[in-house]
Amino acid sequence: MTTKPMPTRPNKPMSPPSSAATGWLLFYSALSSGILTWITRSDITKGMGNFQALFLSLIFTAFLMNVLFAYQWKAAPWAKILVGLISLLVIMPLAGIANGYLFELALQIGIYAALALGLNIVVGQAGLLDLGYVAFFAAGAYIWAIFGSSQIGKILGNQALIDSNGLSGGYFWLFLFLGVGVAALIGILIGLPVLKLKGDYLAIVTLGLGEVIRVLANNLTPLTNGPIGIDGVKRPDTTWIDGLRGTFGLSDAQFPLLIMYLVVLGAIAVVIVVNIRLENSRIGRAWIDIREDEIAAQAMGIPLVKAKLLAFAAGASFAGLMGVIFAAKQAFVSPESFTFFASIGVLTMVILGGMGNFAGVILGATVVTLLNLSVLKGVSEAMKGLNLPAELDPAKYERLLFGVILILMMIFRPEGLLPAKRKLAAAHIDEPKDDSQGKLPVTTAPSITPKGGK
Amino acid sequence: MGLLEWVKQALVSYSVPAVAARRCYGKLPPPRPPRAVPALEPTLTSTLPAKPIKRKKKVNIGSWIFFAVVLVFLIGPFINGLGVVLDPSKGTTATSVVLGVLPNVLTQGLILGFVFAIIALGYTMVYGVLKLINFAHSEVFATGAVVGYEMFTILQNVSMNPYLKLTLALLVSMIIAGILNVMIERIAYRPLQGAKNKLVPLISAIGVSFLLQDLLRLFEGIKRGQFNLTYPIPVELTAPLALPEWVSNLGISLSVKETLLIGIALVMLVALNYLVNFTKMGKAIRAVAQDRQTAALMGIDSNQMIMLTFLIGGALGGAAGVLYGMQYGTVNAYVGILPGLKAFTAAVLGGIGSIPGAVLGGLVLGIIEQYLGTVPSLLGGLLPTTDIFSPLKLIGAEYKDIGAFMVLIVILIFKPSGLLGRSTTEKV
Amino acid sequence: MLLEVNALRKTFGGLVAVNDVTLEVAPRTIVSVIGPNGAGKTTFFNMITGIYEPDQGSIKLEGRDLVGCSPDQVAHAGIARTFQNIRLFGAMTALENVLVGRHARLKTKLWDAVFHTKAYREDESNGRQAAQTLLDFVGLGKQAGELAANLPYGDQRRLEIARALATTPKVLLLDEPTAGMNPNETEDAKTLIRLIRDELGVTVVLIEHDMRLVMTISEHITVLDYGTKIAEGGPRDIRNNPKVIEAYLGRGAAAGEYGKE
Repeated sequence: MTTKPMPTRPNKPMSPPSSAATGWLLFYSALSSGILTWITRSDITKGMGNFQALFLSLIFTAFLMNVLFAYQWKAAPWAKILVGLISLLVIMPLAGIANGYLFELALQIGIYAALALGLNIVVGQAGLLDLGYVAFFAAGAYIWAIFGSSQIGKILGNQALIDSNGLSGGYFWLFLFLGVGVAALIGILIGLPVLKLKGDYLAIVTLGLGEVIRVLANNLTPLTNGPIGIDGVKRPDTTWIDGLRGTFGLSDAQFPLLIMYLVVLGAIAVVIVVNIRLENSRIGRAWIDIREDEIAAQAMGIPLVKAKLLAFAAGASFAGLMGVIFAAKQAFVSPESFTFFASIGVLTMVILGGMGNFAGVILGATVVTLLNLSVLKGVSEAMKGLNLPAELDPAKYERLLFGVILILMMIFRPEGLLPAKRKLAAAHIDEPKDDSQGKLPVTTAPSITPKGGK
Repeated sequence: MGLLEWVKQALVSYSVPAVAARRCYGKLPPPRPPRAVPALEPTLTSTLPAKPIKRKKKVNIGSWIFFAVVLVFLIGPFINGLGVVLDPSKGTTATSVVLGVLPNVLTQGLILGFVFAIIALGYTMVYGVLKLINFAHSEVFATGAVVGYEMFTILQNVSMNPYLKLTLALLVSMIIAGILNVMIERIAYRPLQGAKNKLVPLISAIGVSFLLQDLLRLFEGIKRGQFNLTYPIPVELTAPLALPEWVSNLGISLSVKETLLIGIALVMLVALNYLVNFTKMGKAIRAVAQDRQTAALMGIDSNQMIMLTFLIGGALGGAAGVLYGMQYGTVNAYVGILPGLKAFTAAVLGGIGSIPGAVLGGLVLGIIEQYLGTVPSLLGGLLPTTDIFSPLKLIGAEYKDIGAFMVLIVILIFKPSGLLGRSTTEKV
Repeated sequence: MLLEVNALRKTFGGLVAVNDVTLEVAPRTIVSVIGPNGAGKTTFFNMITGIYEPDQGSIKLEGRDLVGCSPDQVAHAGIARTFQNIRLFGAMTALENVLVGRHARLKTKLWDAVFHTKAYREDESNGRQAAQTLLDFVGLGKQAGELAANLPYGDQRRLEIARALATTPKVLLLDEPTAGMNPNETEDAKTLIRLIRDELGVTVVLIEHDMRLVMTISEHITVLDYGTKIAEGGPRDIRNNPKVIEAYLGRGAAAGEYGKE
C-alpha cells in the first residue's frame, strides 16, 4: 500500500489550507470509517473463505490511511483534528469491539509505534545505532510479568502470593512508572561503559547486550520461568470505571481491551509530547549536533557521554513503559518476543518512516506491523487454496520482507517515507559533493588569493 | 602557484605599501562603512564564575567494576576451588579435576578459534577497505556451509577419495560464497558509498543479512523440505586420529576431520598472508585500505580492489562454513548469526583491520568460549553446595555466548584499538 | 597573563608534532601563530582545546590548568574555537547553530524541557535573543533562518565565529579564519576580529597564512616550524627575523636579498 514514496510534506506555514482538500478528507474519512464499521458488524466477510483475513486487513489499512491523510493533506485544521479524534477515539474502538482481531492489531501497532518513537530518539536524533533495543522492552515486560502473576509467589516461596496470582491489577499503574525507571537505569548502566565507543562498535555491543538479555531470560529459569515464559499476567485494574462497562454494554473480554487501547493511546501521546519538547530544547539540539559532528559539538561545550547517555536512557525508558503495557496486554511473556529480530523490526519501522520525524516513525510502525501481522498472514491464508508447499508460506518470510525494505530504503530513500524536514534539506545539499570525491573541499584549499607583487 | 611561492610573494610584497599592491589587480573596491555593533545582551558578555573542573579520567570507575566482575567470574572459582578436597585418599581437589580437562578444552577451543579466525578475516578485510561492518558476512558463511552440505550430499554415493570430496566441497563453496559476497557489494554497498550518514551502509548490510537468511531457508525448504541439515561426512574423516601416548594421556582426543580443519585453516592463513603482504595485488589492497583517494591517484582501481577484497573475504567465509559444518555436524539457514557475531567480536578483539589480529582474536575467543562452555558448570558441580561459587553449576553452555560479549566490552573499554590494532586519532 | 601555555609537547609515533612550545597571551590582545604547513599549529590548537591530550606541558587559563580536560570542559572554562575546515551543523539554521554554542551557558534540565517550565521558557528566549544579537554582530542577522549549509562560504566562516562566541569565551581560537577568502572578505574578517577584541573584550589567538592580515592585526606573533617555536615578538621583529625567513624560504633565501628589507 504505502510503500511508494509519499509526496513530501509541504511546509506548513506557507500553504494555506485548501477547501478541496478539506472536502476530500472528510469524504474519504467518512467513507472508510463507514465501510470499516459496517464490515465489522456484518456477516459479509464470512462468505469469503480464505480471503477473509486479507480483505479485512485491506479495509483496515484503508481506514488507517485516513489518519495519515488528516496529517498530510492541506485541509483545514479543524477538519484534521476532527478526523483524527473521531477515527482514533470513536471508530476504532467501535470496530474493535465488534472485531477483537482488529483491536489486537491496533494495540500491537500502537505498542510498536511507541517503541519506534523511543528508538527514534536514540537512532534518529542522537545518531546512535542501538541494535539491542528490545532488551529494555524485555526489562519492562518482565517486571510486570513477574510481579503481576503467580511468578513472584514462586520466587519468594510465598503461597499467599501464588494464590492471589501476584500483585493486584491496581499496581499496574505504579509499575508503568517502575518500568520507566528500571529501563532507564539499565540503559544508564549499560550505556556508561559503551557509549564512549564509535558508531560501529556501539552497534555491535548493543547487539551483544540484546543477546545477553535474551540468553538471561531463557536461562534464569527461577526468575523468568525460562523459555516457557510467564503466563497469566494481570490486566490493569479498573474498578473505578467498571460501571462504564454496563453503560456501553461490553463483555468481560472486550472491556479490558478497550482500556488497554486507551492506555496505549495515552502512552503514545506522552511519548510524542516528550519527543517534540526534547527536540526543541537544548538537549535535543545537543543530540542533533552529536549526530552531525561529534568534535564540533564537543568544542561547543556539549558533554559527549552525558548527552549520549541521556538519549540512551530516554529511549530505554519509553521501551520500559511499553514493556509493562505489552506484558499486561498479552497476559503472557516469553523470551520469544525479545530476539535480535525484534530489535531489527523496530529499527526497520524507524528507518522506513523516516529517522528523526515522529510522524514518519509512526507511519513506519504502522506499515511494518500491518504487513507483518496482517497482510502477510492474510496473503498466506488466501494462498491456502493453491496447495503450495508449507515452505512457501509468505507469513514465514518476515526476515526477507524486513531485509528488502531496509536495502531498498537505504538505496533509494534513506531519509524515509516521511523525512524530517531539515534532514531532507540537508540531503539535497549534500548530493553534489559526494564524500568519496570531496575529500578536498574548497575549505582546505590554500588561500592563494592574489596578493599583488610584481 | 604552490603555497611556498605564495608565501615568498606575500613576505616580499608586504614591504610594498598595501594599496599599491592591490592596484595591480584592478579597481580598488569602494570603502565599506564600518559595521554597526549593537549593544550586547548582558547575558552574553557576563562570564561564568570559576567552578572547579573535573578531570577527565582515562577509565571510569564503572569499567573497572565491570572488569573486576569478569575477572572474578573467570578465575575466582579456581582459587576458591583449590582448597576443596574431593577425594582425600588420592588428594584430588576440585581444581585438579578441572585442570585435567583443560588440555582438551584448549584443543577444542583452538579448533573453534580457527573457524572464528577465518570468518573474522572476512570482516576485518572488508572493514579495512570500506570501514563497514559487513553484517551479511555471517550469511556468506552460512551459504558456504549450505553449499558444502549440498556438495557432500551429491558426492555421498560417488566412490571417491574422501579427501578429494572435501577438497571439492571446499572449492565449490569458496567460489560460490566469494561471488555472492562480490554481488552483495555491488548491489547493496556500492550505491551507498557516497552516503554522508555512516549508518546508511550499515543498515543496508543488516538488510542483506536478513534477506539472505530467508533466501537460504527458502532454497533449502523447497529443495530438501527441511530446516536443519545434517552433514553427510565420509566416515574416513570422522574416525579418531591415533595420537602419541603422551598426548592422549593429557586427555586430548582428535579426529581426522579436526586435524584436517587445523591444517586447512593454517594453509589458508599462510596463503592469505602471502597474498596480502608479498604480491602486487596485496599491496594495492593495502593501499586502498590506507587511503582510497591517494591509491586512485597512484593508478589503482579502488573499486576493483574492493571487489577483490570481497571475493577473498567471501571465499574464506565459504570455506569456514564447510569446516564449521564438518566439525559441528548440523547447519541451517540461520547458522551464521552467532558465529558471525563472535567472529566479528574476534576481529575487534584482535584489532579491526588487522589480519594477524583477526587470527589472534579468533583463537583467543575460541578458547574462552570453550572454557566458559565447559569449566564453570563442571567446577560448580564439584563444589559443595555451601560454596559461594557453587551456583556456577547453573551456568549452562548457553552462557558461553554471553562470555564472548563480555570479552568484547572489556576489550573495547580498555583497549578500543584491539590487541594488535593501531590506535588512530581523528584528523581535526 | 590570561592564557599560559608552557612547554607543550605532542608526539604521534616517532614524529614530534609539537615540541615544547610556550605561549603567553595577555588579556585583550590579538595573537597569531604562524608557520609553514605541517608546523604543528593545528595540533597546538587541538591540545589547547582538549581534543588531543598533550604528552607534556601545561595549559593555564587564568591560572587554572586545563590539561586533561575534555573539549566540552575546555569550552566551559572559556576557550572557544573555530575549525580550519568549517564544521558547522549544516542541517540546522544559522540561529540554531549559534544556539548550540549557547548550550554550555543554558541550564535547562530534562525535566524543564519536558514540562516547559518557566526556567525552560526563559532560558530559550534568552538564548535566542543572545544568538540573534551575535548574528547581528557578525553581520548575519538577516540570515538567521537560513540553513547553515546553504550560506555562502564567507558567511559560514562568520557563522562559525558567532557560534564560538556564543559560548562566552575568554579566549577565541581561530584556525585560519580567512582561508579561501578573497581580499574583500579578508578585509571584513580583519574588521570583525578587531571588533571581537574591542567590543566584546575577547582575546583572540589565530592561526593564519595570510601574512598581510597577520602583520597588520596581531600584537604578538609566534612562529612554529617543525613543531618548535623559532621566533616570537611583534610583527616588525618577525618580519626581519632571519630564522623566520629561513623557515619559509629556505637557507639560501635567508642569506640572499630577500632578507635585507
